[in-house]
Amino acid sequence: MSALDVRAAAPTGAVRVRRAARAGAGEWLALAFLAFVVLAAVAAGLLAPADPLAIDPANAFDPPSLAQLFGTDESGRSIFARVVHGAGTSLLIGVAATALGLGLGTALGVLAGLGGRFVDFGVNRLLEVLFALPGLLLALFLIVIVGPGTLTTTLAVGLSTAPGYARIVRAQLLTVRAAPYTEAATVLGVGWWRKLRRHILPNTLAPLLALGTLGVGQAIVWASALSYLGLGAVPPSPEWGAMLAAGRTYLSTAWWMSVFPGLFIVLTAVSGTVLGRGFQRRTRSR
Amino acid sequence: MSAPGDASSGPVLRAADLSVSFGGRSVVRGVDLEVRPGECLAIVGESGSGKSVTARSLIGLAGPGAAVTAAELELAGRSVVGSSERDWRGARGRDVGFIAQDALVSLDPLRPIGREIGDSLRLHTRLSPAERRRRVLDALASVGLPDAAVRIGQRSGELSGGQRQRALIASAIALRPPLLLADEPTTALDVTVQAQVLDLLTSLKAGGMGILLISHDLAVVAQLADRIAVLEDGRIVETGPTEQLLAEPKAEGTRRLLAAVPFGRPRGTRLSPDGPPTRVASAASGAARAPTRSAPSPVTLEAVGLVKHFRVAGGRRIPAVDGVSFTLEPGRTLGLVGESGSGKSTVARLALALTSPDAGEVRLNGQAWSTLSERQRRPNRSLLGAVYQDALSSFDPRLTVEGILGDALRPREPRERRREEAVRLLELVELSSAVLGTRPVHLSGGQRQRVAIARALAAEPRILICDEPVSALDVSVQATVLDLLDRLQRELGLAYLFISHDLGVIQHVSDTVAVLHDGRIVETGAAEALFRNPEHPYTRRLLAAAPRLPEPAG
Amino acid sequence: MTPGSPRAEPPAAGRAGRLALRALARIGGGVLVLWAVATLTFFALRLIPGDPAQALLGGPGSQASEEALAAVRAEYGLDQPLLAQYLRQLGRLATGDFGSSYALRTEVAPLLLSQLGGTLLLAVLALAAGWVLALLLASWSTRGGRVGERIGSALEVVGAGLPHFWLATVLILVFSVGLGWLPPISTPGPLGLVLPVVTLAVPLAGFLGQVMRESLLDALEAPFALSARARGESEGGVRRRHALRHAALPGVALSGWAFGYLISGAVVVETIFARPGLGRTLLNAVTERDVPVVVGVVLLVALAYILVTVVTDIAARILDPRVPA
Repeated sequence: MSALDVRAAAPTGAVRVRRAARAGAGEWLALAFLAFVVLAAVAAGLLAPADPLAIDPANAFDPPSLAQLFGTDESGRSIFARVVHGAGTSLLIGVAATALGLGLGTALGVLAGLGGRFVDFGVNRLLEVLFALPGLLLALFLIVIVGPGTLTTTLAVGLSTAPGYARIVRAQLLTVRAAPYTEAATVLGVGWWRKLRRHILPNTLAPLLALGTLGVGQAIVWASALSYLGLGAVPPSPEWGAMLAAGRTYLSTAWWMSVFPGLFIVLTAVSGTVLGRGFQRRTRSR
Repeated sequence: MSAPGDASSGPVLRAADLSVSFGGRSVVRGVDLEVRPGECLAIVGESGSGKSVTARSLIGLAGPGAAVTAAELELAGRSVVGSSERDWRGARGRDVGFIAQDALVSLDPLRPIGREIGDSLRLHTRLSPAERRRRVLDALASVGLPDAAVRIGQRSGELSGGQRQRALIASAIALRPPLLLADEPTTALDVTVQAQVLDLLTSLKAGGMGILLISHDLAVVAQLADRIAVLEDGRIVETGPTEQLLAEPKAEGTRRLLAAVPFGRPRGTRLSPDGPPTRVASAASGAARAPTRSAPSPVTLEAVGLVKHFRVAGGRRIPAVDGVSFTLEPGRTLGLVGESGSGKSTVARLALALTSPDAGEVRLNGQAWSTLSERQRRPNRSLLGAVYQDALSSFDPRLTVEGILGDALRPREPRERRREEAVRLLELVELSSAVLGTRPVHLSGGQRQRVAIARALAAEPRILICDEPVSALDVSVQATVLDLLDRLQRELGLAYLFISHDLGVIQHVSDTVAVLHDGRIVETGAAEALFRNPEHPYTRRLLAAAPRLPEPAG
Repeated sequence: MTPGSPRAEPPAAGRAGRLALRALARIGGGVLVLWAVATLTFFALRLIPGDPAQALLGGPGSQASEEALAAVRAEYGLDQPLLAQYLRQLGRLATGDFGSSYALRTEVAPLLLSQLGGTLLLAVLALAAGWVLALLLASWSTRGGRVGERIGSALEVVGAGLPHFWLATVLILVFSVGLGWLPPISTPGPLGLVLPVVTLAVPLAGFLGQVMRESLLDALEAPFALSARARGESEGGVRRRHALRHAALPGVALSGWAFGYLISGAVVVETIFARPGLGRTLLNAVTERDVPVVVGVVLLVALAYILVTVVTDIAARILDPRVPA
């Protein structure tokens, strides 16, 4: 009976909660696509036997066909093979940047949340300064210092996402620290370290898996933006953003050179978001 | 259009065979209702009985996915069966005023209340803005909200709970509809405010308005209703004039509701019907197991001149607790009663040493308690247990019942004995061991509170601090939890610091009562004497405002 | 504290005063942040390996003459102790002197000011368009039925996942190369602004829409919406008069973030559409290691970001009385 009462009181809310319980078709599709990208990253040759660097001028600018799924570029290289072989680089950059951002963000957030008033104040001011240098700006500044390249791109994207994660972790930690269940543990005589290990850290860090999944897609987007601007991976290497940049010159004649690598970036980002939000709903509804 | 003469003599609400279902599940099954002008009909039932859905279906707002059927449904003398959405909108606010359940959040927090009240006028009349303003001021004056000219520019967040409820009522009656639907109009309000709101509704009734009152609380209903309908599982199980129904309840459901009211019931009387046989068995085993410690030493909790300030917006410091002293004797119950903002929860936190007093101290067994460091306190933490109002939020959301109880048993029992002990604790609070693998979100309110009590008992405490432990529960569930606490006290010799806003609950559970007002204890004394002979004006006011059932003749 | 725990707020006049105080404090904090950004950039640039004068002139490999190096050393006081250099730099920045660009051989401050307008116009238009798009999508997708909600949610997720550079490419392919409706590079005049604004607005709308739809749904189910319906308010009226305001609140709170996001996007969009502006200036400066210009843009953007956050912080508190002042 009580379930019905809830539904009558908040119809859409109940629908939303009910939907959270099971994975939708969207989540399965997202998972399938990410599985494809991961497979491409570890065993590109399996999916696309063609050499992504093999030049074949006779077959330059072939439009997409059954033989050449995504067409060929100005040197006759297979775009499909290049997209598949580029998955490794793009994914690695995305994952590494997110790991860096999440790791640094978590460290800062936990430090601020546990370190006492002065540490919290200091970390907060540092975060404010970092926030004043929005994403790409911080990345570009870093490139001026270190010089362009794949490693810099990864570092730059990771660093520019860290303050956002730090703020989320800190807020979550403060909530958990003051939560009634943490107080209930105090009343039971549970010591500080055990409270930290048993309640505070697990409940603070639980949402991070979802955040990370959400973050990888965006990290790939920003890293490929840097490549597109000519500051990340450099053209012969089959990185998605760099491929798009190379296709720019031939935009009016060979649209496939730009469209397909971009499509993979979009699909990766969307899949990450869909899966991440799925994780979020699940942790929340539990 | 019916002539106005009809509306004043005929019923303002008539429903026959009203049924509501959601996706094939019936929630309301064949309900008949009639309200005449100047009359109040109350629908009483527990949560899930379908009473709110009934009220909302009467104005065509049962919610998406609801299938509403009725043989007859008349509002203000007009049939609304088969009405279009447009017709419904014309009737809402003009023929029926509606006061929704959550009084405190039923006004848009982003809009001035003048606009909210004026909306009914804007939607149903062609008055000019100036005339609307005048009518809004009238409506506010009629619900007794002072400084109406200032109030209309304020948003609901700037008003107190009672003021919000008055403004909400003003918005419902701005057009003087012949019928008012009031869904739990006084829940979440303090008793004194509740009494004022009930007075207001009584005067509206005297003015000729028909009222359909929805409530879970028989005592509240008894103040206002001419007739009562008891709703159980979507059906009306009994209906009749208020006095007759309260004096000679016929239906089983009515009797159970009446028995569950704690007011005026001396300590130790059972509020719930005898439980199923398993209960008896578990009680026996609990009793057999109870003396695991040989003759536990009596423990006293003492508060001496406690003061605690809070910083409010603007940097000012206001005292939440201001010179509170009391002594909790071993094995006894000290009831601490007060309205919202009286500082009672702060007293609970001070007693548990979750926050330290600005002045005064808490002493445990004649020894320092609040002045110790947390490390020094830890060995004696097991003497004190706590039960909170919101049991769910006091459980780590990642843990199952077994995990929760296991954590609480950790200091006392080795790992391999914990499961067995957890089962024993569950038996003690009359829960089956089947809930061990469940997360508390999936338990009912009463089950959650039992798990919370089991957790509090795990460390074999001598004192339980109970902060509004039954306030979020239905009356019948409240009755079973109060009975459980009573049994545990007798079997285990516990002392309770029992904090509540509910005078009935306090009277039922307490040996000694302390009345808290604005952070000070204004009166304290033996429960019976204090309730019979209150001395402080505030206590008198509080007792006078408390809704109670008429004294039974016998 | 159970029943009726919310208590009456102190009078509104006190709140206005506190808001003014808060604005002042935030501006004071903003000045500190600016100082910290200036300090950070100053010392970070000293991390560049090798001769700073060489780095200032385009890094190792640039064919800087000995005279040019000497001139740079003198201009930046590189022969002086680090602390003296730092104080000197702060003093110059405080008076609005950002030094002069090596690559363009002009003063940085006037250069940036001339580029600021174009970028601000782009950002403001994109923010407005993003807001409108997000609100339209949110209110359309909550109009009823699961299908609409699914479609709305899918559009938001895809929108938020679109990289600016790819979206711009596709838009150019369709509307310039294919249909020939709009210029592929940003010409002066309103027509040239359409594609850049759309490119920036669509992903932003994706992010904003997700948040706005959630709060719109919450507001439509809130008890006050039920009260409004019970007064005879129509579904459209509930949305217009109640729910939309609630949906817009998180959008206001996110505006500071959105500004940063748009500035990042402007770097890409201005480059693709060959549109003059801060973003393109910054990118060129980064490629040529034109340090004074880079530092100038960083400080200017930080200043703008701080102003935007102060304004939205106060605006959010004026719009929503529940947020403590």
